[in-house]
Amino acid sequence: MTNFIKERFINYKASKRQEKYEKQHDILYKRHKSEKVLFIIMFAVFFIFAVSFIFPFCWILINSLKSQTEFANNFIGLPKNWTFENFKEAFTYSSVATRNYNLFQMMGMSVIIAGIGTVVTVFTSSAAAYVVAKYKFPGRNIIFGVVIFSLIVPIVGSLPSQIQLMDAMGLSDTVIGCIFLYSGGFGMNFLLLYSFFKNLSWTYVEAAKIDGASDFRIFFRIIVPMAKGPIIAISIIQLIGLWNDYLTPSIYLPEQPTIAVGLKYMTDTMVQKGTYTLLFATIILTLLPILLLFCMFSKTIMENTSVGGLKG
Amino acid sequence: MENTIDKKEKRKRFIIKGTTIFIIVMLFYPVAHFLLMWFGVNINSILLTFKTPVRNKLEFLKFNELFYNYQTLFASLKLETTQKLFMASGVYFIISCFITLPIAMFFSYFIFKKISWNGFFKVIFFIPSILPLVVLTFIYKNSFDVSSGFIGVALGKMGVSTLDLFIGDNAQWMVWIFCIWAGIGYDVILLTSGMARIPRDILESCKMDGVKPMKEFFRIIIPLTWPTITTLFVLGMMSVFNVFMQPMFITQGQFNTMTIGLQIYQQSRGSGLQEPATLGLFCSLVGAPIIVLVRYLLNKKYEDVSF
Repeated sequence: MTNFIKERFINYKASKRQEKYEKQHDILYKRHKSEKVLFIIMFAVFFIFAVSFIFPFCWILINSLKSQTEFANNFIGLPKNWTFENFKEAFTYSSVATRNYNLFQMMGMSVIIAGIGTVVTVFTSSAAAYVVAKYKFPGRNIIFGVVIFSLIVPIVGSLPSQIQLMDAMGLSDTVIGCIFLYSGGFGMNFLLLYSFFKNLSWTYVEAAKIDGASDFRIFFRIIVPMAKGPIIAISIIQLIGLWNDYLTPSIYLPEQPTIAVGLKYMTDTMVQKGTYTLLFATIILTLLPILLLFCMFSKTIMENTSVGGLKG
Repeated sequence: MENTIDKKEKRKRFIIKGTTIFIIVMLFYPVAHFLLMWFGVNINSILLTFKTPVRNKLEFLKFNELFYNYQTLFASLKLETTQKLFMASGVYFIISCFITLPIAMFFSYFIFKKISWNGFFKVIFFIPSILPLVVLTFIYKNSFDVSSGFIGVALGKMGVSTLDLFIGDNAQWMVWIFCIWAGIGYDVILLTSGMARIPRDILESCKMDGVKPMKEFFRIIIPLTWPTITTLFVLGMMSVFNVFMQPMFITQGQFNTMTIGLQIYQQSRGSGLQEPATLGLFCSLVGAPIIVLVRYLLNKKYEDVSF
């Protein structure tokens, strides 16, 4: 872990140095006086915007280290008596509102649902995208056309019908039901992987076919390792999306809350009771896994979130 | 000789058979899931609009009353509450397409032009995309609380009360401001990556010709990132029907903040599923052609520009 952080830090410093050098010598970044003024004004605007996002979280973090009594008296300053009691309590807190689940259990539920959901949906998307992009078979264009149509044309209000269907299949109030809803293979992930597979060289596959490899073997042994980059990126983005998803678990799994749903339950209860410092500690603990994941894979995540930037 | 041809033929058939099995196996689940959860759900959604609850069960309406749900919906369009619902939802079109998107375009330009600390600002713009909306809305709302929010307390000391910010007419404004504050980041990320694809040669020749930043922004950057702008504009149009969590978490849909999406969500949790289904289908029938047409027109605007 230390080596990983060290390596990240060295890479960060190197990229900063390179960026600085580029900026100094690049014609694109040479600015006239009037441009410099404009950039200074915009820097100030961006800075205020950044503070509006960072400050509330710092404020929450500082206040989570105070007791509730101290928070009432010392609202803005640093804690006089630093305490981790709120964090201890946040770990074990459960109530009727949270359906007697504590933070750990809710996180566990999120790990199961978001984790399995991610694995399944990324696999089905990869399989569907690879076959539609690389194999010629009757109905291929129909499948692709219908998928594109479903992504372009907005369908409003299919939720009641979906609920009825899930009830009919006996999948409501089940973990499998939630995972089933996430497991579709024809979403935005399909489009991203489709364009990747479409541009992938077919020579390796032909060589493997001559050597007698089956299509399954080719997919798992050659294609998946080649698509490792986009698959990992999509998986991380998907994982964060499912971890934060409120809509599906709130409808189909209200009695076994995931962390996103449980946090809503806890927020409502704790605001009502006025136990703000405990709520702040709960929020910090809830955010930790996401922030950790983001810090580890920030470059991958940020480079690959351009999915929506796809042409037209 | 014949034997070799036979063997080759057999092997070819074996490969074709294997490939067919592979295609079927790989596509079976995604296609089945799509058929059930897209076609099945949408067909069922249409059928729901012709049903009514009878003894806690949804049953088809009688033939002469088949369009009862539609008649009820059309009749409700004259009511002030329904009109307010449509107005409150329609505002998100203006917020997303004519406020958030232009601001994001402007912001992205400066990130793209490597404003100082651009890497840091990029991360900041990314924050709303990775945090749960429950947390963001709580932090936003709590900041203005008179007893536990830093903005609320600070303003209170200056004699400005924030007590009624989330009630009455102010509530709408607070939800809208939240949507802009939290929504800019997503647009900026996508636009910045769209701008990153612009060839360097074009930007260099602009610089050499002494093109001013604003001229470069309107004449070069916007046409060349038009596909991304179109995508975001269309997504913004869809927000008229999609926005529901922001008003739900901030005002519980009170004080004229109820949107079509939120109403469908809330009604879907009850027993009368035919009502949200009818409203949804009506919105799809009205909204989808408009959105597709706008998309088509926007795509036509700079269709000659390519790089």
